[in-house]
Formats: sequence, C-alpha cells, structure tokens
Amino acid sequence: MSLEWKARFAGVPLVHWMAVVFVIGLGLFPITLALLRLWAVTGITPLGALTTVHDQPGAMEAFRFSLFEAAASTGLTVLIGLPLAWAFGRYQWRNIQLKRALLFLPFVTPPVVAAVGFLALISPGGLLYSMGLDLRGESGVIGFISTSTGWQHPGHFIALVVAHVWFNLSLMIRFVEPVVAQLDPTWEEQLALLPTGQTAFGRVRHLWLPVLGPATLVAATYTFFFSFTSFALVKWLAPSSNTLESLLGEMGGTAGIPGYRIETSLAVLAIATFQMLLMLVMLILAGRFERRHSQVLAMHHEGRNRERHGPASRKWNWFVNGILVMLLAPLLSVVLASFRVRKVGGNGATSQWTFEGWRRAWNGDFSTVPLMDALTNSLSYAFIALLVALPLGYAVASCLVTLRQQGFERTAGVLDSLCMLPLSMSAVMVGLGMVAGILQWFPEMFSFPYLPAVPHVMLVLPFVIRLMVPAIERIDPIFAEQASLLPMSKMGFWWHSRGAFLVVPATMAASLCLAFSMGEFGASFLVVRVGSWDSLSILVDQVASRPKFDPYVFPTAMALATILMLVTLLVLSINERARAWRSRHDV
Amino acid sequence: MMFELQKGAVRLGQWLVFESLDLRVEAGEIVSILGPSGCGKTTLLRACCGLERLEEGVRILDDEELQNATIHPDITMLFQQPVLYPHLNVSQNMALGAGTNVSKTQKKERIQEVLDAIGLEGFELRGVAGLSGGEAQRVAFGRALMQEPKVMMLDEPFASVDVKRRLALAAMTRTHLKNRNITALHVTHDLEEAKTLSDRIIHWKDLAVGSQGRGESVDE
Repeated sequence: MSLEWKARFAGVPLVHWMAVVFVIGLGLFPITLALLRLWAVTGITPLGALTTVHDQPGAMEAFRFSLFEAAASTGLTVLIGLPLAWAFGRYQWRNIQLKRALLFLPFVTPPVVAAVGFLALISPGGLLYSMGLDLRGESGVIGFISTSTGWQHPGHFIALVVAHVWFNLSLMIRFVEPVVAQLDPTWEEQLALLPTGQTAFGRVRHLWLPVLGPATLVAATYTFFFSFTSFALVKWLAPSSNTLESLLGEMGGTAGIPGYRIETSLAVLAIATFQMLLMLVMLILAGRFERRHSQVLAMHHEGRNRERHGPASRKWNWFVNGILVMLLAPLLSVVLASFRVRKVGGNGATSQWTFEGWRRAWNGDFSTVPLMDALTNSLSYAFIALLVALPLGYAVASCLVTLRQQGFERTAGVLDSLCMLPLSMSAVMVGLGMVAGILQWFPEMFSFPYLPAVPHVMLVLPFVIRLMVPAIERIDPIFAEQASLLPMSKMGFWWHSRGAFLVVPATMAASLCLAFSMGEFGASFLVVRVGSWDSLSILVDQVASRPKFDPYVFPTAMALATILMLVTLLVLSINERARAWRSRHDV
Repeated sequence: MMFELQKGAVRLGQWLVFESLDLRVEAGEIVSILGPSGCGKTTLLRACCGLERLEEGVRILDDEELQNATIHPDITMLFQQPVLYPHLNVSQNMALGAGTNVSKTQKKERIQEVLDAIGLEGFELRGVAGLSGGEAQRVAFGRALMQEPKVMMLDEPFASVDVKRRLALAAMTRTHLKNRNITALHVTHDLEEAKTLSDRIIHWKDLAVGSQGRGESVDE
C-alpha cells in the first residue's frame, strides 16, 4: 500500500503528523540516550538510582535549597506582581506600550546578563552595596542577620530571590493583566449593589479571587518552575549553594564515561531522574491551571474599561513607575560597570572610569574565543533555532488544534504533554542529554558545527507551541469556509484562513526563540565544555569566572554582557519592526 | 444554471437536520426559503454549497451531479455575517473574488466597476474594520459578484442591517442577480425581504420532509 503524501489522518495532514513525531523524538531521544548511557556505565536502572538520591552528595541539600528559594521567589513575585498587574491592567497609563515592553524586558534578558547585572548591583561600588546592603560579602545588617540566626549566607539567598522576582514579574503581567484589563465592568458594578459586595473582603472573595485566581496560579506555577531550575543566577549570586539544576550542571560534564568516576555518573543519574519527575509533576499542574485559566470569562473591550477607570492615582503611579526603575537597575548597572574599574591600593579602594574593559572585550585574548566568533556563533544558533522551531512548532500546534476540533481530545492531550517534554527536563538536563547521550553514543557529532543549536531548538519549541495553539484556536473557521468558496491558490487559502492571523503570535514566538537562544546558558554550558562552540553568554561566564586580582576582569565581563544585551535587544527590535511593517502593509 | 437537491439529508452529530429534501431552482431564478430561526435553513445552504456533507441525496448543477461535500467553482455563498478578511482593505478583499488568472489591471478595473455598481465608490482603500454592517455585506456581495458565479446561496445576508436599508439592499441584490442571470437560493425569516428579493417563496414546513418544494410565486 502506498502512502499518499497529502493523506490526512484524523483530519491532520501527514506532514503535520511527521512534525509531531519528530518533535517528540527530539525531546525523548537525547535524554533517553543519556539515561541508557548512565545506566550502562553504572549498571543501575534510573528507578534504582532514584532510590539512592538521598545518599548522593549534596543532592538533598540542593533539593531543600531549590524548594526554599523557589517558594520564596514565587511568594514575593505574587506579592509584588499581583498589585502591579492589577493596577497596570485597570487604569489608563501614559506610554503603556513602552511600559509593557519594559516590564517584559527581564524575561527576554539573557540570564547571564541578569546575573552579572545583579552582581554589579551588590558588589562594592554597586547601588545596593552603597545603600549598606552587602549581599555578597555579608557584612553589616546581613552579617548581623547571619550571626544572630545562624543562617548561612542569607545575603546570597536574598540576592537570588530578588533576581528571580525581577525575572518572573513579567509572567504575572503576562497572565494577570489581560484578565483585569478585559473584565466585564458590570460584574464589579453588580457586586457592589449586592450585600456580599459591600465589603472589600466580600469583593475579593466573590470577584477578584475567582477571576484572578487561575491566572495567578498559572503565573505562580511557572515562576516556581523557573526558579526551581535556575542555573546562571544561582551560579553567580549564590555560589555557596546549589539547586538540583546547578548541581547537575557541575557534575554533568564528566558523567557517562565508562570506568571514570562511576559515583558521579550514579549521582547524575539519580538526581536527573528525581528532577525529571519533579518537573513533570509541576508541568502537569501548570497545564491544568492554564486550561482552567483559559476557560474563564467573556472578555470586554480593554480601551473602554481603562477609560472607565481613568488615569491611575498618584500612589499607583509611584508604585508602577518605581518598579519599572527597579527593573532597569540591573541592566543599567551592567553598562555602568563596564566603564568602571575598581582598584584597591594603599589609599583603599578607588574607582576610575575607563574604556579598557571594552577594549579587552573587543580584542579578546588567547584563553577564550574572539568576541566576533562568539557573537557569530550566538547569532547562528539563534537563527537556526528560529528557522527550525517556528515551522515545526506551527505544524505541531496545528495538529493539536485539529485533533481537538475533531473530537480527539485525549490524543491531543497526550501528544501535547509529550511535546512539552523538553520543558520538563530543564536546560541543563537537555544539555546532559546532548553530552551524556548523543555525544557519548555518536562521538562523530563532535564535528557537527551547529550542535549547540539542537538543544536551543528543543528548549524553544515548547514556547512556540504554547503561543501557537491558542492563536490557531482563536481563528474563526468561517474564514477558511469563505476562502474555500473563493478562487485562490493553496498558498492563498492557507494565508487568508491561517497565516495572516498568525503574524502577531508568530512574531512573538520568533522574538522568544531569538531571545532565549541568544541568552541560553544551561545547555550550552554543558555542551560547549566538551567542544569549542562558545556562544556569547558562555564567553561572559568564562571571563567573569576569572580570578579578580586583575581589576579589568569585571569591566571586561560587563562589556561582553552589555554587547550580549544590546545584540539581543537589537534582534528583538528588528523582529518587532518587521511585525509593525507587516501589519501596516496588510491593512 | 439550474440547481437541484434530490432526497437530501444532513445529520449534525445526533441531530438529523432534514431528510428526503427535494429542491429545484431553475436557471436565473431566485428562490427564498422562509422559516423560523434554528430550523436548519443555514445547514441546507451549506450542504448545497458543499460545506456540509450530505448523509443522503445528491446535488445537481444543470446535468452534472456534484461530488458530495466538495466546493464547485460556479457556486458561492453570502454568509449571514459578512466574512471580510481583516488584514486586507476593501479592494484587496474584492480582489480575492477575481481569481489568480486575471491581470492586475483587469482586476482593478473590475473592482472599480463592481464597487460603483453596489454604491461603494471611493471605498477602495478603506479598512474593513470601520465598515457598517450594510457596507460590509455589500463588499462581501461585490466580492461574490467578482467571482462571476452561476449559483449564489444567500444566508440571511441582511440580518445585521436595519429594516429600511434591508429592503433597499434586497432590491439592489435582486437587480444585480437578475442582470447577471445568477441562480440564487436565499433563506430568511423575513417575509418582506423574501418578497423583495425572490421570484418564488417556499415555506420550510412545506419543504422539510419529502416535499417537492414547489412553493408559491411572489405574485401569488
């Protein structure tokens, strides 16, 4: 029996099925190979290794630390983010587009830039340090807290939690703000006329909690997830502690080699299995909350809602603008620190403004790849990730939506979860899959110049799918019906019934692909350790890790981080401009 | 062209919308089907168009038996809510009706001609979001005319327009259909609209089960 290329199964074209199989394979293949390799090296099954996880050096400590810092980060993110999203969604704001872009900025900032940015804030000469908060050296108030409570390194913990809040506030805005902005105002007005709505507590209980609860839960779950799997920020801001992710990152490079440090391979196998199970549970929870969130409410016109509530009060203005300034602080610190060199001499510490850091960053040295090579690598990986992930993500999303529309809900659910696997494995696990999986079984892949792009594709694909699925679901099928009645080519049919409606989500997905790939650190950290594919984020880490007796190490690292930040922003703004151009020429 | 549905039956899930439905519209004739909301009029038009699968029965266009659930290039439909593509302006939406084998200049001339005919001169570059219900439906009708169809299905096309304009639009639509000798099947629940537009009116209750659907002429 021959297979028709245009054949459809359950209403889904064959080519979309192939994309689904490829994506699931891409997610499962490296980590399965890695687990098989570690199993072969240690002689212990992944489940067997799981029972030894509490015996692995540092594993339980890392688990407790991951749990505490993620819980604290999530709590603080909700505490600050909820009123921020509420005020931002409710009132009229001047330059709202700009403010929204600024609030979104941390989420697309490369983690290593954020890490060195916070480092600049808390290091001697930094803003927080100058305010008497020594989170790094833990003197003064922080030192007092440490000695009086016996808490080891509270400064590191606080710095890490603040950085996680900085990163994840945009998630609260992303999920909660639209609900507030588009809520039917008559609900609030009706409640105010009923006895239960006479008190603030009553209004919170009967309106705001049910309305904002699901969106907040989704944002909180993702915040917990990202904080739990944090790597670059932990490495730089809390060097005395490990999350499970950073522990794997430390040990993963040498795992899977037969006869060499078997105990490391066993530890990696145990911790990786443990973390994978935890991530899977979190992802299932996040998916459930997200479905509940998407079921909420008939939405109202945002502009009219804002008009009804008018401009924000002075109190809210201070709050929102204050947070915006704080969000910019670490990024500005990076730029400032790249021009400032701090020397300790006989007269104590002195600061000087200089271009030496930039000169060194530009010229490079013999111990790292040249800047332009790293930049070229980063851009190449980012564009490969974009070119592969966008069409693949679209095909998978289209398949999932068609299956749901055809009534195959359960199949769509299972496939959806399988396609999300790379997300449940975290960046370091994906890197581990490459190093201990693919490279150990297929060493000839060492010569493949674009190897680091593979984990980038894996990591961005779930985000592309997540953006595309609701966008495709929202397209009214009547456009396809109308198009089918008009004389147009197949391409024209696709464009007018699908493509034109996906320009905005596709641009958003492209921005995320580019930004995530440019800033990707966890997987690259493991992969480049065994090869020579240094990206710009790895170069920042390499330079910043050098001993600091050379006063120019820090400014050089900051100059590299500034370049990474600027290139990322430049790529994103070109992408956004392309979208604006496209929409201007469409209508 | 003559259009005929023989022994048509459509099922949507568990609901048998109609069965054994016979309907014949002569070439150049305009027939209105009158019936209450939710009786299955729209489903009938969608099935005639090929947008719904017939569980039983056949569609015939002149002497040609049409394949079930396929779109025929000579048949088009005007939906109840005008379907205009929001990423295109008025003339770009109209251009979609002209097909791919027509030159740009010809397309432009025909758009201009049709826009003038339906009273929308000067609307070429307007975005479709700002059009009123009546204007939007006229653009959709103009696009359908650009297709030069032989048969047109009209699914309560003036439902979103106020009563006064509705009859004027119905009259205008009749003129254009007659001028171009287009066979049309129109469904509505508004008797006045049906009288203004069509040559013959059929009540759904007479049509639904096993009827020959002869209906009555508007004069009667």
